[in-house]
Amino acid sequence: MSFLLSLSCGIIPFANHDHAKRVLFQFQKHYQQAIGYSTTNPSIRVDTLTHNLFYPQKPLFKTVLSDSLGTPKHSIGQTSHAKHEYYNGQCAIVAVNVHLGYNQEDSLVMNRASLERGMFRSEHVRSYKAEVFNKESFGKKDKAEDNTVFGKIQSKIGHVDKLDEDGFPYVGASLQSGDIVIGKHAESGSDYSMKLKNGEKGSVQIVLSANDGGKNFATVSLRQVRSPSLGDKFSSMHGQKGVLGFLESQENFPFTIQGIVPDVVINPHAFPSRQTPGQLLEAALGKGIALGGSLKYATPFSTPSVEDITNQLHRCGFSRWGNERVYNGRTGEMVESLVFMGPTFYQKLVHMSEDKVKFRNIGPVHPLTRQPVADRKRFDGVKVGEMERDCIIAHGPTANLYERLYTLCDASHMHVCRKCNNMASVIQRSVPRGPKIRGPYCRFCESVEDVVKVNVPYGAKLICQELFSMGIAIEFESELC
Amino acid sequence: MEGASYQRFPKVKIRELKDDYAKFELRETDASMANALRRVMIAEVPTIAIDLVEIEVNSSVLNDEFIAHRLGLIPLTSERAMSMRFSRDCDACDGDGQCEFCSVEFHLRAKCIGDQTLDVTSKDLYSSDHTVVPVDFSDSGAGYENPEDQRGITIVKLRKGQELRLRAIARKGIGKDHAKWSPAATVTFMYEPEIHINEEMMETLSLEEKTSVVESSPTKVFALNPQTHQVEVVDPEAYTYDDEVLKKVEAMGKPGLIEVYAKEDSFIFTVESTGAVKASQLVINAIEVLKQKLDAVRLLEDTVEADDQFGELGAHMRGG
Ligand SMILES: [Zn+2]
Ligand SMILES: [Zn+2]
Repeated sequence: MSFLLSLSCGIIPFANHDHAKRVLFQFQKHYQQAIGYSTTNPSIRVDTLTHNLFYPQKPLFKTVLSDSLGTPKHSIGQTSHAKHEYYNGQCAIVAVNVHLGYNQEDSLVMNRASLERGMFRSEHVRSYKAEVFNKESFGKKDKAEDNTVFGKIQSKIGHVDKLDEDGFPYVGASLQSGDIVIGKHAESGSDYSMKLKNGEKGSVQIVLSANDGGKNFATVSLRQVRSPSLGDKFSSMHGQKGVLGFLESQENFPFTIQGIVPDVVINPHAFPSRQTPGQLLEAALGKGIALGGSLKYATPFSTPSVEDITNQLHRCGFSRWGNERVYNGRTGEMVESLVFMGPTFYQKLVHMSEDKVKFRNIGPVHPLTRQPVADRKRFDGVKVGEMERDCIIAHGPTANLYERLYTLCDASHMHVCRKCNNMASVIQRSVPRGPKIRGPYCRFCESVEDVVKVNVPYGAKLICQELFSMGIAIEFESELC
Repeated sequence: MEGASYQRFPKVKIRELKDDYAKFELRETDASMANALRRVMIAEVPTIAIDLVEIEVNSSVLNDEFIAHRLGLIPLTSERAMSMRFSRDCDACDGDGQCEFCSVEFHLRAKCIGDQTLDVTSKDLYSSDHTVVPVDFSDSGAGYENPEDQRGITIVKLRKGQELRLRAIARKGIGKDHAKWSPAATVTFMYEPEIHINEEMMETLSLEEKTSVVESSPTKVFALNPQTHQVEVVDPEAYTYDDEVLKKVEAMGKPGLIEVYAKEDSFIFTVESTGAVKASQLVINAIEVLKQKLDAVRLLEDTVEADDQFGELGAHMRGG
């Protein structure tokens, strides 16, 4: 029956116990987003972006389908090898518990000591490619000026300190955002160098150059090692995704009588509405397997019964239902309730907070509206939209609202004539017996008396001018202050 | 000082002592003390671990950071750690690793020339100080049958032509800063249980019911005496407070048949060391660290600065 399922679905333990929506979720979205390990040529491949997990593990449970993965047993000399497939996750000790309110709404708490020991550490390699026409193969028929070559020149667009004379950085160089990765320039001197975009950095792993069909290619790949940090996304095999909410020290976690401390703490509220008891069964079965139990298979549609799992746990000297007595790590007192704990296969997904952080103080603005731009690569701001505005209004911090929507957005001013309530534009006009002066002037009243300056967002001023150009005048009533 | 004194005189009884394992009882004290001891053992007993790695050549399959991380996690013998200085507090050097007070230098050179895969292990690390070396597990009686397993902790495997050459500096640190400095593999304690069997009520049970009570506990706490057919407590400490027996008794409709109390003032500690320091030394060091921390509080208490630092709390601490 489990062979009806696809590869990625067939290795979900107890998939038949989960809500179908969750299973679909898992193998369509999370499974391909999970960070695993590139099996072929990991050290020389130059994909645009790859992620590799430091310590991929095999799940504790097996399914009939997972047995079919990897290369079969074959012998080299005397020793026989069966190569297992690399899985894209790790077995974490998961406790279903609340933890100081830091795992609300699908967030999870992780053990900092576990992370420091290498759990969910991963490397991220990004490659930069560039090409130039090969001069030799083209002869001299090209115009000499347009010929671009790789090489180091003093660039105005970024730092070139880490580059060698050939225009490539040396292996091991640590590049920051704003540095030049590949130096490229025309013989005329104009600069075509490739620059690291905002937020990109890393140390140089591979530098390759080759020529093919009259073109010279170059590739530089940058490596970055990341340990999980707040905001990184994780998922179990049952569509239970969550972001990291807090890194807690080992000694603060509740500990069992054997001294076992959870790696991950998830919130019990993740279960009732999601209908994924498969995860609980996985943890309970995994615990039995870790203790040397003989029941190892969790093949969908032929899963062991709950009774078998609980009996296996009982035989291993543990509470039948996977619960454990724990002591409070901060006070040393016994916790009143039992806590469900067990090894669960968890995956680190590619969505990491480091790639998504947004911050800016002063930055580029849109030339028409003078509001901050919304381009991801150009230090974009985060929009305070209508809903956010409503929320601020509801809470009442008007000074904050004023700051977000005016001072820090598109603060501007315009002039209004208090006599005719029309907008007074800044013009250059000649005054009898004097030089030309530039300033606000009401052309309806032909005077500068009663012209006042008002603070308005540039966007508001813009629409008034646009309406004015269509023949619609807006009158402004103003009050002096 | 005024006010009631909460001073108690805890007693320690050692049950079992091995190089990397200790089991002892701690009596006549409170959970706060027991837990403080546990927390200090995990997070604040200093050890020495590799903290800085300079890689000269690395053509292995693992990247530089990977190897540096693995090196950091190798336990080093740290008997000297208590008397060493933290690198950041050391005024005899500028932290370049040449200083005898705060750092130890290591070298590693390995190149695979043969066709066989070469395992680079912790045994290939050469220390500049014979008192700080990678922990050797081969003589701890871990029971290795295969001599190849005694080659220490694998750092990386090299195939023909690959090379690894590096210099590493080990420094003193504590588990709070990074888990690699934690000397404890496992530190845990349990309250000593007190198990009462209501013999009168037990006599009303049939033999079958008695067996089911005995078997309801996943650990061997109870046993049925084959002669007298009585339920006896064979090993109260095997009880893990899992409530399984209590639930069973309840389900049988005999609440109160078995009652378990946790003794609030006696603890059974289990300490396992990573090998950086001996388990017994770990406990002693933990007490020493705890004393130092208390001394720091006491010193503050006596000075006027306490007032500045803690405000009203400072006066309060002095019994004001
Ligand atoms: Zn006017
Ligand atoms: Zn020093």
